[in-house]
Amino acid sequence: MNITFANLTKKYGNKTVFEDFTQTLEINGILIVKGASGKGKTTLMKTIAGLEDYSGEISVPTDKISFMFQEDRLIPFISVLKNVEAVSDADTAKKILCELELESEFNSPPLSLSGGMRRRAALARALAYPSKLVILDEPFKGLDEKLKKKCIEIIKRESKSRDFLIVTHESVDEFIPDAKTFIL
Amino acid sequence: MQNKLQKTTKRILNLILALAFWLGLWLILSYKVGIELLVPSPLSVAEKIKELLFQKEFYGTCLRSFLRITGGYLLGIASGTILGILISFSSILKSIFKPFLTAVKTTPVVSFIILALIWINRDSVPVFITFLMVMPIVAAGILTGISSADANLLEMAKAYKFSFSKKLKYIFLPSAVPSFISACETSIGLGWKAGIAAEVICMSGGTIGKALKNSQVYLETTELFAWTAIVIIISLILEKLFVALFDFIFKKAVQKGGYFIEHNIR
Repeated sequence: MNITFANLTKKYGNKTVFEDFTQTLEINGILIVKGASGKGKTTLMKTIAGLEDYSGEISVPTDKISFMFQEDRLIPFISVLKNVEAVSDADTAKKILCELELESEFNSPPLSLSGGMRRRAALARALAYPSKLVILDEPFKGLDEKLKKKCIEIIKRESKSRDFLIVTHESVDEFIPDAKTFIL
Repeated sequence: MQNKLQKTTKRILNLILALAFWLGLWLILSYKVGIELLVPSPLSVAEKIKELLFQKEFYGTCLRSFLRITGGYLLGIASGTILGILISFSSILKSIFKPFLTAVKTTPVVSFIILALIWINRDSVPVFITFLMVMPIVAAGILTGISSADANLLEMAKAYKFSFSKKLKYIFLPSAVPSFISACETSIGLGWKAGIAAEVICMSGGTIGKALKNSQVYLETTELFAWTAIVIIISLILEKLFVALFDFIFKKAVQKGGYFIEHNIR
């Protein structure tokens, strides 16, 4: 999947994040997005998902996009399982939550989970949503090495059928040596 | 455990002390004035309440007031909820209804009572007035709650293309629950007071308001005090009753819907 930006300009008040940004992102499975803090990685991801206003042109070949935000953004009023079921069918939701070792937390309120568990629940939601493109913004924040590896294994498997854009500060080369990196 | 017992004892003692203070003040005032017609003594008022309690029509009078005012209250909650949801999502409806809601909130209730008396049957006026007092509070509560929905969650809902009904079910309505319940709670006392005022002015048949008005007309000050005390007691009971009912409904609904919503019922 190719995502093309043509003369993208994005400002927040007086602050310019992008000015005439022209680039093509070639995603073939997994593309890691890196860059210094404040460079606009999250803004770029949000413009792809249609969550930000901008001037210029962006061409995204699909409108079915999963988005895992930097914050977990789980709905606090419903259980972990219902959060995932809100974007998928019940079987898929349960299967992915089990894979991410959250089977004991199906009926728990999201606010009762630890930071790492909430991160995995948010990842489960992004994976359960039937999308062609999955955008993950700092998906491994707060995860230990074992869980990080587990999440990457699932992402690698899923990347055979859809594309992933992963914004991360963590080193993933060890787990995904063949992944391409885009530096902003 | 002992600490809790001590706190309860202290609270009861404080209540008795406050009650004794005000009753004492009332007793001294009535003794100093010395005319029962102006300030009846607490003892004669208590005697009058006792006398009223043994009259058969007393219960019918209270029940009629209760039913009319409760009817108006429930109508106010139902219509306030619907209106609150509508104005939360339609800027046109919000522009249309906002001035109306502000006007209802700021206009003296007596103006509405007199107007309603011209428009509708006198027995229906207390229902209408209670409804009119409660509806804007509930609508405003819903509007505040829905407007306070977490912007981050709404952005997430946009990303995952939630339908409007899904947003309503999972984000907007749960966000509106605490302010909705607070609005229902605060409007109980207000609705009851406005309803009684409407009964007084309209002289609607066989109600507490009419009994109050009759006491004033026939210069039965002791009876006026007795009915006022009864109004206060019923208001307190009603408030406790409805708060308990809301607590029950809220917990049941949250449990049945599988929701996790924190709200501290008074």
